[in-house]
Amino acid sequence: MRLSLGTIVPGILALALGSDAILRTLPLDPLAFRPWEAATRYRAPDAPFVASRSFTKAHAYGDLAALGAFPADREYRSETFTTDSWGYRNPPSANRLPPWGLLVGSSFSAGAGVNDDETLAARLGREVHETVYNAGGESLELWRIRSLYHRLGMTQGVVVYEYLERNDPPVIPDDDAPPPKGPVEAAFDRFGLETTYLYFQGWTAVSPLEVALGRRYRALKDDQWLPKEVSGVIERSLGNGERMLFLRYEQTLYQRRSRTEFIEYWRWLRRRLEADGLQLLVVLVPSKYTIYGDLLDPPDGRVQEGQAFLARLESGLRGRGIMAVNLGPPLRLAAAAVVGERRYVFFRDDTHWNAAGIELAAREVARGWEAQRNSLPSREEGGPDSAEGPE
Amino acid sequence: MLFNSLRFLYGFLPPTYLVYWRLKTRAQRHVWLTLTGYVFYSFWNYRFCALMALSTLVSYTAGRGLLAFEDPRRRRLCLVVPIAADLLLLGFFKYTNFLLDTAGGLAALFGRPLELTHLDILLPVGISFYTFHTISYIVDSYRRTIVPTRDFFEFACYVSLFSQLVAGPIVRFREIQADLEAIDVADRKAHLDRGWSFFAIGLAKKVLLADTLAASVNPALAAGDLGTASAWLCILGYTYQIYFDFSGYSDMAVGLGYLFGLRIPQNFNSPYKATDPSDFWRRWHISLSSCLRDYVYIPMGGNRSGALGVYRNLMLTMLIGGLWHGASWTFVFWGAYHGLLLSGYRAGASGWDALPAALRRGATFVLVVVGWVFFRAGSFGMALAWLRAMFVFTPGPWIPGALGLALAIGLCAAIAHGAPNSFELRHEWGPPATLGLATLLILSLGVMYVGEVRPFLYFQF
Repeated sequence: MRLSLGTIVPGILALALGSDAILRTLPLDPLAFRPWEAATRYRAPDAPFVASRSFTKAHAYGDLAALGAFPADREYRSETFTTDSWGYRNPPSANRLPPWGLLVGSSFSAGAGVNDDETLAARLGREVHETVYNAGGESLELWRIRSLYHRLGMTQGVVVYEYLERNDPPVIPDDDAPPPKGPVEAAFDRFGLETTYLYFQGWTAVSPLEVALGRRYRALKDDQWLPKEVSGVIERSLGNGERMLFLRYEQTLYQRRSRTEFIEYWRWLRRRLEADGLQLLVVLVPSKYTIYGDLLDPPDGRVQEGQAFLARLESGLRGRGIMAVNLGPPLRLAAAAVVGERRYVFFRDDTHWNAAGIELAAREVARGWEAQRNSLPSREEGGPDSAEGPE
Repeated sequence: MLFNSLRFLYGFLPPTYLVYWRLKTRAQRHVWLTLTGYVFYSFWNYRFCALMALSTLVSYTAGRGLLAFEDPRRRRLCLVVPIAADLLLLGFFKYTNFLLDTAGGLAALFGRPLELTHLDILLPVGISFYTFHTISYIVDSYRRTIVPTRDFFEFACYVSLFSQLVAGPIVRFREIQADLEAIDVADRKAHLDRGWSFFAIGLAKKVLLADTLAASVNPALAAGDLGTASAWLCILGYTYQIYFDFSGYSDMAVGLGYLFGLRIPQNFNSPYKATDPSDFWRRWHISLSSCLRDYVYIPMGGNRSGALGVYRNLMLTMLIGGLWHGASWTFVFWGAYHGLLLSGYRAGASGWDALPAALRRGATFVLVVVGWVFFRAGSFGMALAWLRAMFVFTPGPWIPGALGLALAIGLCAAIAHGAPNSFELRHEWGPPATLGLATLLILSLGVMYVGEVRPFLYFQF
């Protein structure tokens, strides 16, 4: 048979497309460096994760080591990640009874990198001797929070709102209704194919071929063959001589944002929750760089601005009668106290806090809740935010 | 949409190709290529399709006028009005802020600071290329070098042909007119292997070579503070990056042309094998340099303007060439630098040509490399610091990825200086070479899959 480029090139293109399409139907678990990627592929409706699945990875490692191709910095750990029938990270029976608290927030709440029993919800539940439903994974709009506590049958209790320092201020929506669906999703819905649509979305969103090739390519970014600088991850030395990875953009001084819009959002949210008999507790979580920036060699003093920003946010919230716990100071103190022993409150190879950091956070949140639930005025003062500090 | 994107390879090319060869008549194929050209363009910014349509309409009308009128005054009107309109559009979109900056700088120099606000102007991609297409068509029609077409879609298809639309080559109407007129009798299989061969080679040049060089050079230049070794690595890396980037694009354009039965002329002829500056410009971006020669240099008098006049013509032509590349004084300086090289060579050609060929080739290459500093640097400050680091020993650390960069430079140098170029190849491959090309294509696809795709350098011009 004659080999002709006119046949071979289109053949290769077709083969690559076909392989990609077929590989997308295979499970992602064996390829994923941690359970999170596999759990977020085929999401349950309006949820961050796939429903009713359990993923275990014996040699999971951190997102920064994967993203920035730092194989030498990987900290291998075993991780089990279980979701309930609604697609949230909880034990299968978690949504059968109304919980004491509903935890909403980012991947910090969901517990990226830690086991099911080490998440903030699990730890907080143990601290307060109650059940806390873990709805962490991505920021939730009010209609989704409301839908969740209605489904859970919550008529009292607390919504614990975790806010991560580097995230943008939440936006007050124009109305409480869910946003209209896009034309494709609406068309699927019209024929009762919502699950098919979600499968289709997961199928198009993640290409195992791309994941596998990307990993091979990133391995070349070792500062010998290709520069690491092209990735968004930086490696820094700590004062104790160990290396730690950070997201590059965490160094940005985003802390100089005005706190007014944050506080306005939580004032608005608290009013809405109170109307349904629920309380709001805001948990302010610092970014990793804010905690470790001044423990680096040489130290980066700019991170004090991040600490100050969270402190201003906390005082502004409390001044408005909104319960708030700033995890910056306790995490910073703990980080400084144990860094000499080469122990940490965040993973060195990951942007998230580790089990020790979460345990401390849960303790502080429980303590803050206990201290503030009766001491803060039940109704906020009106008028402008007079406690506004320097921006 | 980039040729080196999966969207192009899987979303645009197959339907464009399959429908094209299902259509039978010339008119159908012209309309289809016009439509797909606009679709291709709209992926960048659909609003600017109207600008291209306007330019097409004005130039087509001028061509019809030149076909109809014999009266010199009317013919001149058909020449001047559309060219003025084209240049005004190009000037507005590409050079307004440059002029404002220059005026502000000059005013400040004379102690009269001006408050000139930058206009928020988005440069339509490819405007420099399709403006040259339309201008060359009008001038050639005026000179009666070509007979303007009566067929609107033949002309519209020439202007909007996706393979040459956004980054050239600047194909003149006369170079493609025969193929456009015989488009209905083109044989799909006649150039299929040749087309894919050009395309695969071009893709590999762009994705595997140029982009690999860029991955190390760009962050190193952004970081600044280069030592001598790193400064040379960066400029050599950029020297080969721009060649493999642009010649890769041109090869892909030629290959795509073949797939649709259209022969697009050669744009690069091993420019780094040039033995003098004049030879370099006969080999580098041939479609641009021949346009500058035919539409700028020769109308100014060319070689027949007396001794000083020739130097003036050379300098002005190269200054315009520099400015065409970008609205910045560093591009103008780069043009002036090449004008000086051409003038210098003209003045001392007899002495230069007596030198051994290898020495002339090496010296020409170094002179070209020095010029790329001004082309790549964003400012004169950066260019001077870079040149200082190159020529005055400056200690400094190795840039990240230096080993990979050095090896890539070595490979690129071997190809650019030692291997035949795409047009010197016969594109009739035996099984081992076919498999080799297939492997290069697979590797290129792999890099494209991981999303490490960079736009072509010449898109910005």
